[in-house]
Amino acid sequence: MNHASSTRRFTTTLLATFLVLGSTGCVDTGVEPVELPVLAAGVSAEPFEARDGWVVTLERADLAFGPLYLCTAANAGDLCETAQAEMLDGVVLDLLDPEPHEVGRLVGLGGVVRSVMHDYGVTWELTGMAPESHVDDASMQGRSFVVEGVAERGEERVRFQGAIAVTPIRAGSLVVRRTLSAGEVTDLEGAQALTLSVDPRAWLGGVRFEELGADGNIEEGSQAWRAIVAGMTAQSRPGIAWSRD
Amino acid sequence: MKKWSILLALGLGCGDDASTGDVTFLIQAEDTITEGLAAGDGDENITDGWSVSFDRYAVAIGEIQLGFATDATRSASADDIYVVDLASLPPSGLSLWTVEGLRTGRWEVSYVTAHAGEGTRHESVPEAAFQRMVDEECTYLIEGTMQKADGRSCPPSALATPPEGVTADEEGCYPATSVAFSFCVDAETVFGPCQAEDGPSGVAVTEGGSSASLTIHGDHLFFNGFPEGEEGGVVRLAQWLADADLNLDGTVTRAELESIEPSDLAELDDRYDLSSPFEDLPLTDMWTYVRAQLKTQGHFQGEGECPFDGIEHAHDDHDHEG
Amino acid sequence: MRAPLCAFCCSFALAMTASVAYAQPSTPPSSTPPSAPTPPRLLRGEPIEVDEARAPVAVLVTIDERGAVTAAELVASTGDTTLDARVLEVVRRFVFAPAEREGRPIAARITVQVELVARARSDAGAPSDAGASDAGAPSGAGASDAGVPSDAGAAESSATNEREANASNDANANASNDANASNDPNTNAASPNAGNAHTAAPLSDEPELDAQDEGFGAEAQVEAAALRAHDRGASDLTIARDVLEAAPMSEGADVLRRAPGVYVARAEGEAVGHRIFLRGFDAEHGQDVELRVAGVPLNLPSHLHGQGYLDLGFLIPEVVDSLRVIEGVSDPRQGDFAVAGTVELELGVRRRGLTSRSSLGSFGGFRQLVLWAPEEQRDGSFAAFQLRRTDGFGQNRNALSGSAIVQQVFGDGAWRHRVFLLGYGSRARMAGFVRRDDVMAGTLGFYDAYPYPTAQSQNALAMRGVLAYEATHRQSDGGNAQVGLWLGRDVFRLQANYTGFVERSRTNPDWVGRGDLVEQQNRTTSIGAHARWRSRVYEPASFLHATVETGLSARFDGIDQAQRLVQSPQNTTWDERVDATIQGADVGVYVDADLAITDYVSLRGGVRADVLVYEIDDRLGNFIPDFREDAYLLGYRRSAFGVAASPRASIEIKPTRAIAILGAYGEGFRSPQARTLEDGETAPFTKVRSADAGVRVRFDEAFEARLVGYWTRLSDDVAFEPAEGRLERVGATRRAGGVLHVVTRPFDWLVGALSVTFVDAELLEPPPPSAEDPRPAFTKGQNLPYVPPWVVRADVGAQHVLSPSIGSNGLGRHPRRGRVGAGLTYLSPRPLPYAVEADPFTLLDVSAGLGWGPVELSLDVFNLFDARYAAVELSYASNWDPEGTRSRVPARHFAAGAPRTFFGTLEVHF
Repeated sequence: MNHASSTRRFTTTLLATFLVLGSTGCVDTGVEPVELPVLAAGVSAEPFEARDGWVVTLERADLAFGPLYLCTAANAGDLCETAQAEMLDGVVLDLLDPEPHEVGRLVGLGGVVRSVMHDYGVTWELTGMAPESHVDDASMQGRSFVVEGVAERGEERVRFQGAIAVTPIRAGSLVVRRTLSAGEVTDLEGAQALTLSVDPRAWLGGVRFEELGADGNIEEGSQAWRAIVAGMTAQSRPGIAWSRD
Repeated sequence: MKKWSILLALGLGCGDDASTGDVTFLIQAEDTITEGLAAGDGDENITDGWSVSFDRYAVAIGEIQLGFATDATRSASADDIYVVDLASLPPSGLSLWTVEGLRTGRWEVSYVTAHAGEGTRHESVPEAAFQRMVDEECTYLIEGTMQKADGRSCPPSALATPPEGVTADEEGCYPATSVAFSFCVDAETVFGPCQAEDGPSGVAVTEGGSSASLTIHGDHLFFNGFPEGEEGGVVRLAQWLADADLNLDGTVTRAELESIEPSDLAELDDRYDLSSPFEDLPLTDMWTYVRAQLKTQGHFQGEGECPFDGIEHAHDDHDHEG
Repeated sequence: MRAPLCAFCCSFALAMTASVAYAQPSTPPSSTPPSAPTPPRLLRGEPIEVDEARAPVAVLVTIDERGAVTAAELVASTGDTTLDARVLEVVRRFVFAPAEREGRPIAARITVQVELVARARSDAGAPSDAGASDAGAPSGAGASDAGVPSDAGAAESSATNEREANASNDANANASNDANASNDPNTNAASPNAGNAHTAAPLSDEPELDAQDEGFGAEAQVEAAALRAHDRGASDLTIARDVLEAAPMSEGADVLRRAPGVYVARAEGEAVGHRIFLRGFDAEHGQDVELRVAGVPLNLPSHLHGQGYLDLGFLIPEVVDSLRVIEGVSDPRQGDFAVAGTVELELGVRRRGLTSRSSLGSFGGFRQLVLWAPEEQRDGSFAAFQLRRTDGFGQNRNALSGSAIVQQVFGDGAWRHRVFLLGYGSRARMAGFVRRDDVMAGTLGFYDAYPYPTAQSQNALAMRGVLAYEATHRQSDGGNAQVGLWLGRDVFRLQANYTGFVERSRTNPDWVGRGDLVEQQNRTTSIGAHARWRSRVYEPASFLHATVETGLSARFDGIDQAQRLVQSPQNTTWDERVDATIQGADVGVYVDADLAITDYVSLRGGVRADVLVYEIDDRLGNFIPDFREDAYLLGYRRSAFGVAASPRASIEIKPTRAIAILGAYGEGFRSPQARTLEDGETAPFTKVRSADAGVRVRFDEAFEARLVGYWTRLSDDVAFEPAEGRLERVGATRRAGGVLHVVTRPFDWLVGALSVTFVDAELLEPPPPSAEDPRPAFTKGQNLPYVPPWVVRADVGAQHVLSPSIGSNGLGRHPRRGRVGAGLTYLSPRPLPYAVEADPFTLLDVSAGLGWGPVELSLDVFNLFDARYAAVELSYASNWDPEGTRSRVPARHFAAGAPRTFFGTLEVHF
């Protein structure tokens, strides 16, 4: 019986020791989940000067945007099979509203992001047969960028309008994949909001308005179309700014 | 000696921790540089009928950084930069760098393409060519010729300055069966960390010595966009370069490319994906396009990938080996 | 409760005398051993009732160091073969406190005189013998005395000291097995201590019992494989059979759960290897746990699905005789994959005869076991066949498997032989991993599989065959030698989709979105051998005794492996990822010394060196992308070589008989997946350094507790990469923690075991960024993913005679037996990659059985509280919504653990 009682005492003591130790244990999983608002800011509708002396006044500049992925890799694209954070929804941004306003939520994990990739509302998933609109907004006509405005040069006046689609050239790729600039690289941990700055003026700035037809339509394959697409994908892509603690 | 070292290791029970080895790095040129690119319908061909050959493909390359894979405090480097003409390299490549006394195991690798002025001329590069690269602060000096039997050059009408008496056809194009190019390009880039195709990252240093190759691809100028990762889905097209011969003198120059905006080239249609990875290098003109493309050409062990302007090894408090 | 208990204790009478033989031919017969051993003492038995009282019957019983009966043989027949068999059956269930030398348990053999009492006496004697119930108390006081009639016949025993067993020629073995033995068992019978086990310790007569025979009895040979000290530090422990059997087992691999800090799960399906967690290691499918069954190493090197792959589906729990677990590295015999530790399973069947167990259960579960253990054979000899089928819980989990294990132990005199044969085959459909957010959103049921063909087609097949032979020889100088040879063939095929629809064909990059159904195929043919020689006992000084062992192990593996992407349901291949043949060799040598310095300190240890050689034919190496012109031929052949040298040492300090202070340090290794090696690369062994220290308190068999602190460091570790369905390298890791393990037998009918394991597992170096894996999922200093910081396991088992015999004919002449058992497993929250934690869970399994003569009915309930839990949980990016926008952020995925499952079993023993 002595053994039995000592057994109980011993067991109780050891268990208590372990429970005390256990209560102090915690798990460090390395990075923390994050969720933060995505804000978008456009520009004011003031007239601006485009190439060759054209002065342009935008009356409508709606941009379909998304999905958006932020990556740790130095280069996005195939090296970003696993993203650090994402906004999967396709949203429509009014680029003539200069005030930042929330358009979606970014969800992901803490950690440094060094590159970004996104579509302009038209995506080509690996499981899709062709690019498809990602935005549930009929006014976008299934396109990426709907623009209307007037370009003037002296006596010349061109009312233009267009609905430009920026489509991936192959399934699974996104139309913008870029390394973040030094000021854009951040650690998502502690970030409070992501603000997208989109300037459609730069996209229109390369358009040769004199080459537009009388109806002012920006036709697919035209210089205006190519200039806007080049502006959207290679010259003046949405800028990224972070609000932090 | 090796036998004794193994026996000693066994006797002391210290395993293989202390062994060291050397690693030699070669520079190798992709076959597209030495053999050129052929026209054809295959995925490996230029599909719009042009063939390309390179007379010179000089690059300033080196400054190899090594970091031990599982110990960030260990690093080594081979800092030399050489200016080498890849077009004249033998298929076996050229051994230019050796790092000695590295701990055996796997090391991460990164390297740079730099300004020629920072490097040493290799004998494959003529003095004059080297001097041009130094003077113009170039990373690459690429000279070559494109050929197509029924080739045409279709420069943007707003920019074209054809010789007097030469008229375009109804599509605005001019006969051009051969177009030469000579580019001295500033394309400083950090490549790394590098990873062999479908293999582990970096290079395995062994006691007997090991080697690895830095491989420069030669065809990115003719890609239909900016490759990343596996470069799958890439199509090779060369017409855009023929169209950049604005003065139709048979040679495309830097000045011509600088005067062309991407939207000026009808050739850059929806077959192209112009999303350059370089945010600080907006593609405002086609010269920038060339620079951006060349900044993606560094590879490793043939088809192995190296992120460009990648993650440099940061070893603040480290043991520098080799 | 006391009445039956008393009847239980009174129903047999036993007398035994322990006389321990210390045969040390190398030393003069008069040499005195370091200290005298204490004999085994009976703790628990079953009544033997006969219609009419008969003369006691002598049974030669071999008792292992855990106090279990490993062999029983009648010295003389009762003249009634049925009764003979019954006596042997009952005696095999006896539990003893083992013999001890210097406070350390040792194997022994004794002759017990079992009295056959009249049934009437049993009934009548119950109340009056109340005091005898103490016989079974943990104190062990009077255990033997209680049952020993005053006229108990002569008892005899011999003990086999583990450390010196090679020198302990067993007098009693001669009595039963060796006609040429020089020792007369009657010498023992004439022992003045006869009739009192407690005072029967070999005193003055011991030297006279030093056996001079050159053989060592057949039973002694049973222990020959373990003729050395088992205690290699605080984390070397053997799980007794009663603990193994206490709680129900749904399959053979469940025996591992009885070891501290171990959790095993069938996460992927019946035909895929278990995922094993051991003391802070997520050993995946066996990469960190070396497992040997019947001396055969079963981990498969360079397996495509995971390094050191193990599938324990073949294991039949009823034939597992003992489970030894070395957590950490401390024994020079530990080889490849002994990173977290080593598990050794010895097989044997103590209940002789023909047994049939038929089980029916939930989800269409069915199990049939046929177990034949011929009476005339040793416990190690048996043949077992198991058939299992199930429709599976939830969706897509039906499975069928068959397993056959045959082991034959034979030999006379100095030789003992063992032949081991294993055959196993299984095929199962798999539900696979599902996203937790889909389940939370109601898109998918907890136990469902995704509805797409690429998910519904998930399945696995496993086949394994092993043939092994082992011979042990007792040398005339007291040394012993062993040689073994084994052949193995393993076939594995898996179709699993972890990530949904995110893969792109490398062969043709335009082929996308066809479902990431990864097909893996791995075929391994192995041949292996081992040999070892252990010296006689040297005594360079009066206070020092030493033995030395040298050993060799070698294995050669030929491995064919392939990995593809397959489109379901047509099973067309849309990408090739791996196509390789690997030839590998692992040759290990070791030296092991065992020093006993006075009665208080033991030092054990040595050094092991392994040479690994690989030749790899990687037929898809130097892959040429579709858009590149062929400049060379596809393929990459290479070879690699490496040496791992590993010192190991342990120390045991015993200030008192009950308390031992134990410490150990060792270095071990894990071989690399050969395909990851470059040409000429020094095989980058994962080097593990392991240390532990602790205290063990042992009061006979009644109570044993260990409190152990441990520390391990790995030079580099690996983690599961779901996209490719394989392991990828991460950085160096460190684990530190503690283990509490308690086994108690407060009553002879009750056994309980508890283990609590804590670990702080940390990643010391982050994996380097790479082009393909640019953002490693792990950061420096974080806790290791998948590793549960806390693992608790509790087992309780009770068995008792419920009522005595109620007649003399038919079933009525048998007492009715009852047993209950329960096993509890708790896993704390586990960190997962990418900032998430897996939920904790608690599982309770219970069992109850009623036996009557040759028949037993039992009911097992697994997961009694029907806890919904994730058997394994992972975190990675996937896309299981082919119509939606692809998410690239890692999400939690899990493979559901089994819900509450009932199993009813009918057992008939002939």
